[in-house]
Amino acid sequence: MLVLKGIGASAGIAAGRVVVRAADAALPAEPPPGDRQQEAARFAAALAESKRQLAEIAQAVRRQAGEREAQIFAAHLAMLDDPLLAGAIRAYIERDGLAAGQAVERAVAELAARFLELPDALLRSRADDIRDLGTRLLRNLRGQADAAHAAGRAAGAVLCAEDTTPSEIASLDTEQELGVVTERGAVNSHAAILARALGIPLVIGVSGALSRLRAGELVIVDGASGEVLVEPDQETLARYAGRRQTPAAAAGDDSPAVTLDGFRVELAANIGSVKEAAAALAAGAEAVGVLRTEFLFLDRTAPPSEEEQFQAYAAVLRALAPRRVVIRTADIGGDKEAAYLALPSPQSELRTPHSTFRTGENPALGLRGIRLSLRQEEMFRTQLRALLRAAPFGSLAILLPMVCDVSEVRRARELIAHVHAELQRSDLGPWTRRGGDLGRICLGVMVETPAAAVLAAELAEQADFLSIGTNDLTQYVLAADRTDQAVAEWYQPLHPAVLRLVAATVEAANRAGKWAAICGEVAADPLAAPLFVGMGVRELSMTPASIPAVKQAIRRWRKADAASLLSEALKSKEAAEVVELLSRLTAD
Amino acid sequence: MVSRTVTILNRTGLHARPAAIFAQAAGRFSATIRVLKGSQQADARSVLALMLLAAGQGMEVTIEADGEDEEAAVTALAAMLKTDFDQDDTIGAGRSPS
Repeated sequence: MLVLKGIGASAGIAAGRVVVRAADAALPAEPPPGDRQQEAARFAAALAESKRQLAEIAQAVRRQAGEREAQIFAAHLAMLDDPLLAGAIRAYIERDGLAAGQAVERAVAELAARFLELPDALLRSRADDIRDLGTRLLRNLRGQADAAHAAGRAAGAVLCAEDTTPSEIASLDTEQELGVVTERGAVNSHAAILARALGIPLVIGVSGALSRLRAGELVIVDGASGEVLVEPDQETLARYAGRRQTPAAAAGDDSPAVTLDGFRVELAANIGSVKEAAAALAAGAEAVGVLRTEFLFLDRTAPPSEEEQFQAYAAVLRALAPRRVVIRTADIGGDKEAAYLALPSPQSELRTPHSTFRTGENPALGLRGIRLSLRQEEMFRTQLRALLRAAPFGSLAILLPMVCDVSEVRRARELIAHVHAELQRSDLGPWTRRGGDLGRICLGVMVETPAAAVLAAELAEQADFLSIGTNDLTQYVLAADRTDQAVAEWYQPLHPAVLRLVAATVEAANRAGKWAAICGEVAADPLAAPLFVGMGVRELSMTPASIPAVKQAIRRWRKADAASLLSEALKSKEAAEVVELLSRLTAD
Repeated sequence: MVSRTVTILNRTGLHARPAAIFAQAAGRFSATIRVLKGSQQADARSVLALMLLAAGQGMEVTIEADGEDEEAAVTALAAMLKTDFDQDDTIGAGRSPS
């Protein structure tokens, strides 16, 4: 069985026979050109017909997906009528005597080329929208009906093409089990946004898809993992058929997770690289709960420059905008060490053997997270400067790891204010003034040490939000190293000792009017979801692939019922009791 | 002719939706309105031309209007760029409740 790898742009599973659409295929030949007046009249008719079709599609999309998605086609209508498109085409016909079809082709090619030169990826992708409009105009000029993609409508078909367009996605019949596989495309394209809204599995960026897939071949499209399985065996088919039953309805579903009685929990993604921003979007994440910045600091010989960090943060913020992105300052140390930090450095105390974090016997209890950042102040300032510079690209929140008490938060705030003031005086000042406004950037605290959980009320006064890192909290509360297999049975995130601390932390945050998030692995466990709903957690942040299942779990509960379940669970004497309670209650 | 230079504060700059909203607003005035960024200029009623300026948040543009209601046009459009006039720019973020 051949497996082609691409990028999952719209989650969900589709299984079906390949239908290949060659690029610009099936356009009938241009009729012989008439005189200028006739060509102008033909274009006017095709333009009117195109506008009618777009209005119709906008209506249908509004019903099936929603107002925002329908706006894509309203924007297409405006672009079509623009002086630079319709105006240019008319000029080519009336002034230069081109046939209508040629005029459309030339104007579209020129305009698309201008967009492709722009520095911004989102704007560059507008070239696809313009080509989409061009194809529609040509089809209408040549009298071909809008059902050009009828081939893709055969039951159980998987459309394979070089690229797809918003029009094409909107024309697919979602009643059939359809998926789409393309060689090109972007996760943020209008076509991908629409596929997600309509729940059509879409895998983009499959190189050589057109030459490697043959019409009629059976394929499984996994829009979450980005895999295309060619001629799968019976066992694989059965496995995927099972998966399709459960979270498929919620996969690619961008609507929020709301309980039966209207309590909303924001579902966010934990990501550890710029690339994963795409997966977060595809999974329907409403925000990024934690962007771990360690990827910038590890496996290298020198710390990353301000510019390199700025580029990475800006890329993620831009990809997710306007969604909030919580960026956690470097959490190196512990089990994640960076060799260059142990090198002698003039102002650092790291040279003294007992404070060198990487030689500690017990790195999880060593110089890590905010402790290291405050020791290595220059490196921390560089990271803060890069963050403040990137802030205007989206909605930024900064998160401090491994905090024990308010003194660390105060010191971090001072440094942020300092760096901010420096930036204002520099030539970058005008640029950062708004995005870098201290009033707008939220500063949050990771609650992962028992000390932070116990002092949650005090921390909630200083911070804008609390993010509970249950992985570290569990290992510290139960004194069970999570990297040590020998004590794995003691590492229990649902242990009542951990749960009581988590519940108290959430309560402290809510009482202070701040929001609390859970960002450990247990946030991805659908079984545990009602506990967090019961606590009144505002955000669960998890690996993107888990979002659909957790969303479904939340939708099955009432907040009031979840609260009574929680109080039962908090009375438990051991983890096994909690697990038993949850399994019993969620079984029916 | 009236002209005014402003810094774009809208978070997504003059991208697709904001450009459409801006162009629509410009269409309500009778004056000829141009938006200038560096050596480039765009007809304020052309969504595509506005997008081609690639004017992002934090950049400076000049709005120029020529005609009867030039003062009102420049004032209104400049004020627009100074706010998040397209606050709910979350295509794909949610379905309508229906």
